[in-house]
Amino acid sequence: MFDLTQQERKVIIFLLSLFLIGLIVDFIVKKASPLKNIFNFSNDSSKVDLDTADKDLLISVPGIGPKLAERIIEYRAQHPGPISSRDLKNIKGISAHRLEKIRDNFLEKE
Amino acid sequence: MQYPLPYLCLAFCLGIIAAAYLKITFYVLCLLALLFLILSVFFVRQPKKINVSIGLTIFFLGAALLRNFQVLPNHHIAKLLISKGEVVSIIGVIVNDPICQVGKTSFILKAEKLEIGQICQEACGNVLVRIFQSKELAYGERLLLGGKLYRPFSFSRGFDFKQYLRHQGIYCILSVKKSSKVKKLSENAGNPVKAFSFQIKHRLREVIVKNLSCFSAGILNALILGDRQDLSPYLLDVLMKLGTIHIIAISGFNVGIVAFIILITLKIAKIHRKPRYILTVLLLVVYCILTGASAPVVRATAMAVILLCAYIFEREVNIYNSLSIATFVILAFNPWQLFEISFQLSFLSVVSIVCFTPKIKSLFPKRLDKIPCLRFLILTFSGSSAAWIGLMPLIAYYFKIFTPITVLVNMLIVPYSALITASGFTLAVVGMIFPAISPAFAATNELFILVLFKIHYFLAGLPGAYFKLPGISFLQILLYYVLLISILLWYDCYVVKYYKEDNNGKDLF
Repeated sequence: MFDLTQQERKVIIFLLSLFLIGLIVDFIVKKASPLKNIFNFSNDSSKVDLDTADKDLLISVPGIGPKLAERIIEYRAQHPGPISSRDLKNIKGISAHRLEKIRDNFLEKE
Repeated sequence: MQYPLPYLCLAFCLGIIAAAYLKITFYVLCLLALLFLILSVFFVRQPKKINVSIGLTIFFLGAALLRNFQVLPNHHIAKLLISKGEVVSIIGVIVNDPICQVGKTSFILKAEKLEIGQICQEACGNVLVRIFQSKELAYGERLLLGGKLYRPFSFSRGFDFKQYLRHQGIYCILSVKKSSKVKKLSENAGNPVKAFSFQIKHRLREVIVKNLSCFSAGILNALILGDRQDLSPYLLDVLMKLGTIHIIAISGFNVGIVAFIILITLKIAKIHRKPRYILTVLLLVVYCILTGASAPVVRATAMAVILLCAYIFEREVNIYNSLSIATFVILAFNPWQLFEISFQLSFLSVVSIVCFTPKIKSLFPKRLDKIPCLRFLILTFSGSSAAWIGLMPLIAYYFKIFTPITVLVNMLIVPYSALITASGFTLAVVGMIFPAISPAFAATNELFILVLFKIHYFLAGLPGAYFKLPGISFLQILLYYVLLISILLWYDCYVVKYYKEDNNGKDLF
């Protein structure tokens, strides 16, 4: 059939052992995977991340138009580091009243 | 014997086939694999016994791999879908390059969260999403979608769409109406290498679409980027009937041309040998990803990478071993690929070309090799015939068609489509770097593509160009290949030996 050297045989046996162990571990992990309920499906997940949102995503928030979205992106570029919804009050066009209306759409990071 | 890998690969494939038809549990298969693995350790100094035990270990590992692939985690979306179709909300990440057509966008979504009724759960698994509106979406975007989730249908005749999707790891389809919610939550949630590859693909597609007519752009997109959605069904039908549909399927042929262009370009740029090969390997991987990483492309890329690594490490390369490694790579990732037409045709074509081309070529007088034109004709005829001999029964089985003129058509079309592919790449690259001079290259491509399809339409109209066949059975295919292998072995054992003996060790011609 085929002639393997002793070294090749050992390498093949080693690789097959790793493969077999990996296969068994993967099977057990799949069988034992838990069903995890989430209680806030639409809350956090549908919130917009101020640090990464592009213009289109910002515009999708009710109360933010194209000009305001551009100002938010400019503010982000001028102030490196994480931005929270509280920082939005420093942007022209976002009053305290408007901030109260839109802040729930943004992800608050700890 | 310097070809151990093909035998091990064969054992692996047989294990996968056995698991598909026999109902043996995963634990029994693992136990058997472990048993033979332990025996291999004991027989490590006994050549014959260890070969058998390693072969059987790999056989049972192949079977166990398929069985493992059939098991889904408890939070897989297919398991969370209880009834036939449900209205759901789903959050997930796009994991492929979305296909955007007029009024419809489709892509594959990797599910993360699912809401059915009042229940919200973490989920996993891929879903085929169809949105009935044109949407500009991209790989790596995290979306919140609402729509109807259902299992794919299995039609009674023809192509089994449900099984096809299952083999890709997709068990559900999400249908999103025009009025349903589609909300982009974040971007760049995917693999950065894949994202980069798709960006290059879009840029190349823009250049092609900008410089060529709709018809020619559709063909060049298929030839270079693997995008076939703009090809007309009539054109696809003509290509299938003449047996040249492989030219629009990204495969080793295209990967070879890409590798050649990259190597030549880097050589002209005076890049040293080893960095040149390393860079080529990286660019080939990017090309593989941007064309969709189908089985033929992965096979060709894996073989090209092995070949280039052999040059880098100054080792001899063997095509059977590299083909076997490519098989292992593809099947370890998705063992169901073994049952896909594209995988079977791709691998079988390489094997038959490698096996039969030298033998067919040896039937011609050696003195004809001295004339370049004749040498080229003999080589293309041998290659085309070799591929036809290997693939004819499979094509008859799957597509129920027989094309007597396919050998001659491929002799003409394959080298010509290599020219079109090379000129297409040139247009794409020139269009990106020097757009001002791309119209000249575009005109050349238009001419080449027009001639290619005039030839196709003419040949397809010839009487006796192709015949539709009644269904042939799997047993008939098996008998054909048994006969073919017998003829091959007889040729190797007796014909070559007889001619050499008869001519005192000299070749016949």
